[in-house]
Amino acid sequence: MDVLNNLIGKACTEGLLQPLSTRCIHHRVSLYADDVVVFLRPVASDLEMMDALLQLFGAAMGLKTNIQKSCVSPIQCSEDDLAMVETHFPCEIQEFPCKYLGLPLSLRKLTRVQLQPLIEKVADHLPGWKADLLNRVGRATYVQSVLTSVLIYNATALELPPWCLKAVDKIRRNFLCRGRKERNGGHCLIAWPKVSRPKELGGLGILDLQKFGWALRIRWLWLSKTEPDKPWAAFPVTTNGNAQDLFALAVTSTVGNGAHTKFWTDKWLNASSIEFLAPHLFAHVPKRKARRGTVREALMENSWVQDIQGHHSVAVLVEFLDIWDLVQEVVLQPEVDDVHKWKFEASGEFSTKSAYEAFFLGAVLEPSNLIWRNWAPRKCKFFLWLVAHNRCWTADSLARRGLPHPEHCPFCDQEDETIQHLLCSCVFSRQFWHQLLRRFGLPDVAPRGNFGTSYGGIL
Amino acid sequence: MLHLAAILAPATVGFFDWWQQARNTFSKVVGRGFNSLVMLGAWILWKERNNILFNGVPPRLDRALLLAQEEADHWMLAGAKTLRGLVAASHGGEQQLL
Repeated sequence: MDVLNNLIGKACTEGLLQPLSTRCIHHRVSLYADDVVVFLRPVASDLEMMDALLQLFGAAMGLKTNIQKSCVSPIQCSEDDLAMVETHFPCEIQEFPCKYLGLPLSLRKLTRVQLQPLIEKVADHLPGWKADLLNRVGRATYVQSVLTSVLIYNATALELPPWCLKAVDKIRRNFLCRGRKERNGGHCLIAWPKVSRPKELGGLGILDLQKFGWALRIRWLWLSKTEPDKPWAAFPVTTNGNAQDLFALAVTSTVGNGAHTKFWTDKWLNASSIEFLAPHLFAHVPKRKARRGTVREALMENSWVQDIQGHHSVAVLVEFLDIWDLVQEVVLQPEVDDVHKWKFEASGEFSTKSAYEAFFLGAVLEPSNLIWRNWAPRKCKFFLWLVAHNRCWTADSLARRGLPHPEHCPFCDQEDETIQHLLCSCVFSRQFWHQLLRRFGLPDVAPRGNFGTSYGGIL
Repeated sequence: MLHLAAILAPATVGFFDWWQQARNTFSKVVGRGFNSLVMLGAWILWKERNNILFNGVPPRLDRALLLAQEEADHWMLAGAKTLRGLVAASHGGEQQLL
């Protein structure tokens, strides 16, 4: 990457290649493993130059270019240009939204047609005849580890639109409920939004695609903060507002030289941001300056004061004086880099998992976390999960749906059958629990209460 | 000390409430075994219920317990260390009593 990039960069600065556009574009080449993409103007001299550069690179590095296997994608080119390109590079012509590293490259937002292959890719991973051999737990595992993970690469690179996530969710949901792609409704035991919550919160731990997509894309924000020297750091990465909010909340900065910390919006002043400390004052700072200005620039001769515009109320002045005092105490260390810390990991390093979990902060824990932490076959855990949500086909659930159901509890033949009754309040099950616990030595340590005598006759 | 009356589910309390309360009376290690045992018990009760309903067999406590014992043996073979810990502890306890 570096060699080719430097070669082409040198050619550009020497004026051998024409600039791509009036706007400042830092990179016109990308090489990952053996997949390379180069952007060129359709001018004969440029094409010749690039041909020579590639041959030079091939001779030096051993990565020779196979023109037959390459392809040309015209971006807003005329027919004449295309004909000229063909004479220089006799290879296949592809329509522009082309693929690079498995990702669709496009000038605009991706259309349905361009994203459809992604959904089909997920559907292709559905097992055919084997699905009938999997039970629900097996299918849940399959959904989590195959159908969901197919998307991870694409969801990190692209902001997938809601309709696409919905389509994938439909595939995942139908497979979990019925083991196939289509379904006729009414087969889901538990509503999908509940299933796709973390296990501690009463779900099945299947990833919520929307939140997971946000969490994946926070990585870009994190990298652009911690590794601003990376080539792609200048690219505008669009992330969802929720992702940005979580990121702003979760990252605290320790200022060294202040070069990579935003003065107004980053949390660097006593682990808080000026935006938060002085909201009235912040309202008087133009958005553009608030986003750009680093601590180093702002502290240089207190230039941050010039960012504040408009008429000042008393509240603004009070906040200004507070911030002034705080800022005066800050001393920059020119040789120390800024350190950014991700709040949700002990190590301070960003992880997608912690970001995903953070989207569920504040949700109420459910008793079902008793289920998942302990040793039991997955099918038993799944059953108990259904119990926790009262979704077992006992008489009461069957009756509610007007299905044929037993009149009474099959154990005691006295009371109505509900899952609570069946598992713990029925006389039969209480005896069962008593005996079972005794067999495993648990009640041995307990005093012989009235239980033993009153039920002794029945045993 | 553990209180059996507290462990056994009162008629009005839900299954998970009982589980949670009973779990809190145990130490961490025993509690893990207990959790596995509760899951095993619930699973066996459900299987037994289905057996009674769909195969028309009469309800029998000793059969359910036998099934539970067999299932527990299988679980322990499959690596349920916490259950094995319970069994070992209970045998140890009996020896101490003797």
